Amino acid sequence: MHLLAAESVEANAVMMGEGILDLVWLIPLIPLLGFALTLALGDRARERLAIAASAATFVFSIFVFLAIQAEPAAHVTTIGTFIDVGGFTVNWAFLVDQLTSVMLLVVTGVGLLVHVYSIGYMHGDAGFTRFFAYLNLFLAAMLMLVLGSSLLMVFIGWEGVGLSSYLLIGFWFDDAKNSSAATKAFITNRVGDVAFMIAMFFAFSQFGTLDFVTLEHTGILEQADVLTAGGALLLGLLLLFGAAAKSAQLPLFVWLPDAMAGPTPVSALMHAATMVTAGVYLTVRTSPILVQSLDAMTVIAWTGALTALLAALIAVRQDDIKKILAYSTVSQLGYMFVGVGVGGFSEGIFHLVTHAFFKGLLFLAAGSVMHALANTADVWKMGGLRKIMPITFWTSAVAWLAISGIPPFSGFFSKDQILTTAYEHGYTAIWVVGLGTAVLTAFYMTRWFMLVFMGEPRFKEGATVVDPHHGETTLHPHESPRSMTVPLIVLAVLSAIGGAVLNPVHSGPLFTWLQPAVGSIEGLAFPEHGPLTEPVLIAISIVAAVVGIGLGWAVYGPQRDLSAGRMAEPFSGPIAELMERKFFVDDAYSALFVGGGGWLADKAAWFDRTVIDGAVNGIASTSVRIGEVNRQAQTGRARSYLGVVVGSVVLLAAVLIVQVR
Amino acid sequence: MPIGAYYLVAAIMFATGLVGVLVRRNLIVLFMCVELMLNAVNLTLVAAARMWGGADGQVFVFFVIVVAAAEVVVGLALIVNIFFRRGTLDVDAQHLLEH
Repeated sequence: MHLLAAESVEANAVMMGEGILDLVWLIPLIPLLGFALTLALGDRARERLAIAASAATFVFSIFVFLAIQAEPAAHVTTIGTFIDVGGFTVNWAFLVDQLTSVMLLVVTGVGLLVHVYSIGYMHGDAGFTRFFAYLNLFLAAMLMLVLGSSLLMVFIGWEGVGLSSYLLIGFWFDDAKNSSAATKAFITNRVGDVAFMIAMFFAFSQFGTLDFVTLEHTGILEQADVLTAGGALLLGLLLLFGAAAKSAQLPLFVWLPDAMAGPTPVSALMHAATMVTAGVYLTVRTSPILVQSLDAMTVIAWTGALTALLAALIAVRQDDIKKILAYSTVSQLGYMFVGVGVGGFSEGIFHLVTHAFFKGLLFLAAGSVMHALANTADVWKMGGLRKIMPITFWTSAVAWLAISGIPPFSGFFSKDQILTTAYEHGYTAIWVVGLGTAVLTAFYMTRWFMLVFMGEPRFKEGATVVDPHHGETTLHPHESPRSMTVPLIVLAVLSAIGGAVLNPVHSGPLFTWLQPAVGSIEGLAFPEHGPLTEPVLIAISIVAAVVGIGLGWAVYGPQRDLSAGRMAEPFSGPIAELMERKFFVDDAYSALFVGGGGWLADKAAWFDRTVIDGAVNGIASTSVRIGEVNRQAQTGRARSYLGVVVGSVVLLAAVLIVQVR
Repeated sequence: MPIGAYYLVAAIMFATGLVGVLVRRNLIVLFMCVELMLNAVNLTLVAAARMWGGADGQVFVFFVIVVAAAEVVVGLALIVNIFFRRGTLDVDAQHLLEH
């Protein structure tokens, strides 16, 4: 499945970074300094330095974007040598192209909003300063990941976001549940990291370098066509497996829902908008390699489709306000992988961007709701918040319509473009799965929205409740402070118009913008597609969204009496149970890896105790026994020694005499 | 007289001395047995020297006798000291080096 020579879009030229692009290394450095200084100054710094650092990176990113717009090309800025061993050289180099500039804006933009939001949300928390320091550490690592100009540079950021994710999930580490969730996230990510590392080893063995692009056109993306079909498949699958851990895809998605143990701004920034999209970014960044193997891309598409469906099914029956959103994130990330897998790299990034807007918004809104309700997370104890929290309500409504895929909100455009691309590239089965998932998405988001905001309140104002972080308090629902509502409004505007502005049609501005930076799918032998035309497909997508919302409204709408709580769920039985128990994936992993690992460790310990220790102790005791026997010869009586001497001499003499003869 | 007779006498003396060292327990008797073995060797040396008509063997014997005299002085001094310290001359009682 090799590329044909014809290419409609000229691939990027590679040039040295000049002007502001020469200083692009400052972007990850500023938040890193913010992290170090905030930690060093402690409570004298509070949030000020961290916010200043994130604002500075955002402004910087805008300038970088403008610079790329002035000169569209891949700009490589090298500031030093990292590793130079034999023929293997890795530089501290940063790559800025159209894809990077989009990612920079998303990461720093959402990052800044979440920083501002956290002032209100984390107010009064004992770890206030530490929280902002960690946020800056995450920002530095994520920017390193986005800017890295070789697989290893990306990997440094990749590990950095893993670390800061661990630190922030376990932010309230005095609760054992939180720290075990952090450990789970870290370990699951390590599994993917191993695949990433093997991918790097393999890439180096094939290309002799890890650089994406170089001035001499020797980068791995520029000479991707030297791979054999099998090599391209292997490399694609290794990259997919690495990406699957970071982006919570099958079979490694289990950590993300547990990661909700962290503070809500963290869930919004890392576990919805930016960090979990790193896998999507990686696959798009390496798309010139992926297009060498249609099989690898098909596997990616199916992984995404199945993850999207499975996670959406689980989300339908979750009761935790954040876990619903977490499974929804897993599901939406699945869409992005579908986009990448069916050859819609730009569409995948488009969905990444709009998802960052509306899912970031949903999480921040969830945080706002929890803030108002003394950190209650159970949606069955909410309801009727539309009057108490009007700003949160209206912004959430925008996000709800956006994720459900109602035009003209942003999610409609991005999701629909992925589905149409899938269909037009002949992946009809994936299109059907994606469509089913779209119905489910609209359904569970309607359920979320109705249970939280509509109907009658299922909590009592003035009641005494236990806040998991602040002890017993009296319940006084209220709209959140301005530092929290302003980010909500900004994200709501972006969620509403982001899609229509960025890429309203298939070959919209974002598509054209990204095209030179991603792999070309010209000449890939996609299967023949069905008879439906694009307007029909769009109509079907809208119908799917409307059906989902209609079903959700019918079951959980304000006309229904939901005061019975969970008993009001419309259906029960084994299938509902299966969805509620998350298809037993967690239990299976627990039995297989935790149980199996424990069994293995037990056996290994037994082997160590009996066989290894036995051998060592056996040598010792055998020596002792030999000594015991031999010391009997040491009588201390001179005559016995002499007797031995005489006997030996006689024996020797006898031997000599016999030999001489 | 053939050399074999000298060797025979020397062998008998040596064997007597050796057996004495091995089986007797009194240190002084042991000491005398050692002297017997030394003199058995001396006897073979002079006999051989005579047979070959050389003087080396006889000179050698003079050295042995002188060294033996010195050895007797040291040895007897040790024996006297052992007797004073231990009150016995039984070799089997001297086994400080036992395991």
